[in-house]
Amino acid sequence: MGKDRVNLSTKRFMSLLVPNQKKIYMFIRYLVPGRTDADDILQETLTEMWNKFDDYQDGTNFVAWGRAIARYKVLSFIQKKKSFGVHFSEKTIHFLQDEACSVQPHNTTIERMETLKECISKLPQKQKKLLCLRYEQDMTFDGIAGQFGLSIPAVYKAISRIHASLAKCIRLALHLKGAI
Amino acid sequence: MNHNESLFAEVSYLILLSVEGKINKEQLEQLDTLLQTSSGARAIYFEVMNVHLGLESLDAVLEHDENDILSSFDTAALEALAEYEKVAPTLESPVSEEVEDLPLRKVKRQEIVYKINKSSIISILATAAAILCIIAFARLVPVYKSDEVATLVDSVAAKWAAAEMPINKGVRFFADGRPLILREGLVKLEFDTHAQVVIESPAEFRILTDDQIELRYGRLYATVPQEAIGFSVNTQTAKIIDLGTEFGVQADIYGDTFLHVVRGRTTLIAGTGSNKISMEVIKGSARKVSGATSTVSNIPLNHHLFARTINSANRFVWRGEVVRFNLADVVGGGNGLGTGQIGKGISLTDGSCVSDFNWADRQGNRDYWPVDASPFVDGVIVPDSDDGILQVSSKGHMFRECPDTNGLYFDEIRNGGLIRMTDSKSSFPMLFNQVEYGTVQRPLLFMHSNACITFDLDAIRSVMPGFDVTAFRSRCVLIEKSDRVRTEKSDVFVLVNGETKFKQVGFDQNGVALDIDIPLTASDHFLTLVATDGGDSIAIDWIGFTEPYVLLQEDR
Repeated sequence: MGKDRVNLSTKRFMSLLVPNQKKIYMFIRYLVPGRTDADDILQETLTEMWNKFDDYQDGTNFVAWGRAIARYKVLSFIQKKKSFGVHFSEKTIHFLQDEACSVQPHNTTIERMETLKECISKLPQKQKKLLCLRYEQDMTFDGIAGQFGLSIPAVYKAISRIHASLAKCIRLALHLKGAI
Repeated sequence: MNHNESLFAEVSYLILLSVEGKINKEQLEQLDTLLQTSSGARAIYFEVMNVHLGLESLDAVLEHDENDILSSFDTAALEALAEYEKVAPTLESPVSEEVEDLPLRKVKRQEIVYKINKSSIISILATAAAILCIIAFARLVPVYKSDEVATLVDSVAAKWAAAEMPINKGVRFFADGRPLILREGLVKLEFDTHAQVVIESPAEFRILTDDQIELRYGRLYATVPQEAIGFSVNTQTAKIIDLGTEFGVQADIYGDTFLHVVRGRTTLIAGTGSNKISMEVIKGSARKVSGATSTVSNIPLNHHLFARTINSANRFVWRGEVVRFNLADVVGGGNGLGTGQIGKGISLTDGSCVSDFNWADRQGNRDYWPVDASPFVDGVIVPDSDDGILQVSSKGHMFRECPDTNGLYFDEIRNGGLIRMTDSKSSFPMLFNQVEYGTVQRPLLFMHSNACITFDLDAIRSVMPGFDVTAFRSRCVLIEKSDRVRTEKSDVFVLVNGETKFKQVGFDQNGVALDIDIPLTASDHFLTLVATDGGDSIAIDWIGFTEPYVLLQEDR
């Protein structure tokens, strides 16, 4: 394979990957919520996609092809980590995978991200601060607990409640906008 | 909280634990079960995951427009970067102590997300080693574990098998899985998540985590507030996961598990391996899991099997029944729950508690005597009034129908006991329709006219937190005199805040019980019982209030 051909193949791969990488990553995250593990699987998936890119047929669904490889990598990963027992069972993966393909992640469209921001703006100040500490300042849960004078389980509960209320707010807002 | 909201809260919490890598096997199993069995849970799962993913990338979206990234994509530049990485120094693994202080998430964003977007596949592979190093050290970072997870908040007559184990309030418990054996009594533990359990002896249990307890044998009643949804009770053969509820679990040493769901709903998981089954058990239902076969069968719900609340202050143990606060017991110096003495009473002379009595006709002085010896009795007075107005509470409540009596009294207000006569030193039991009252089994508040006693309902409320005072119920009777038919009359009144709620004037009917059922509300502070001479004399005016109960129901 000549250098020009490698460059051509790389450019074609990247032109397909860049706009779709996030969708493939989201698919993995739906099946493996833990970020670190999902990042590992993404690495393996991208490597496999690159290795098998010659098998990819132009004009077919690049995301679906990537998800198929990702699903295989997820199951393989779970098999390897089975003894740790902190990943979904294969049965659950089976239940989730089809729906994971049809879900529209918030962070893949401007509209959904704007809706998320609108819903965040409606939160009480203390809840906003919690989100800011966790997601903007990357503060740990025990750090937040110390700052708010809460127990660590209480911080988990508080943030999970915020997530739940944001999810409900987004659902309502998107419904009113006719987006769902 | 409705079903959907509780499911939202539960799934959201489990997802957060999962995303943060803090989910344990049991919690994952719980999430697994929900996602497999409920399409609603799956829908919520995706919605909440989307919130997570959106929040994780929110600052990136604000700071970097995705179109800018695409437009600036330059493979030549990235290939140059890849060339540099070939000669770049090897990434050294940081020592673990430093990793602990690293803002790990930031590192991951810089190394993984953005470099992958901007670099070529070659650069992705080249950085993989560095990522793996970071991931490896991330796993070496000590996982937070709360050692102290629960507090002993109360106990009644409790004794641990280990004599050195303290039973005082405030003792903290560790999630160390150590077997705890309760030989006698009851204990109430509150987890830091605010889930509460009352454990009744004999019992053996282990605290596994901040939201899990294992019951080897014994009885346990769990009250789980919204913020502690997901709290689990494990037994030898079953696992009960709370979905926002109250439930009781009884486990025996043979492995049988009995689940009684009083409120809300739970998930019951029974069996192991391929024989594992899970089901939802909702309020008003109960299940038995066989220790021998792991099969699950329906059983009748027993509302009163489990001690739900305890209070060491008055040795109160509540099993879900309507609470009957015994006013006769109070008059006997008790706490309303059975600690009073039969025959003991409160003096109309000065409001003191007395066991020895001066049986003789005496003239009342129309003073309202506060009763300091009992927090539940506001005061007593010998009722007599020229103008019909009589003070019946320390707050100045007035009884405006008070008869003009002869102002005499003979006996004290008593918690049952024996009847005494003026003309004889003999005594005889308090009989009504040939049945003896004024005993522990058949309590009776005895009032020989003229007598008046006021109870403080707020004082009762103060010792029964979580309960509402809802009613006063009793039956008013005339104690029998065996040698002749009664002709003497008495007047009986029951007042609330000084207002007449029950009245029987000229009561002289032997063998007749007058039912008294007076609803009480939060604004009712004083309950007064009045017995007067009926306009003739105080002779043989033996008025009894049988089973005089202030009823309390759980405040919901």
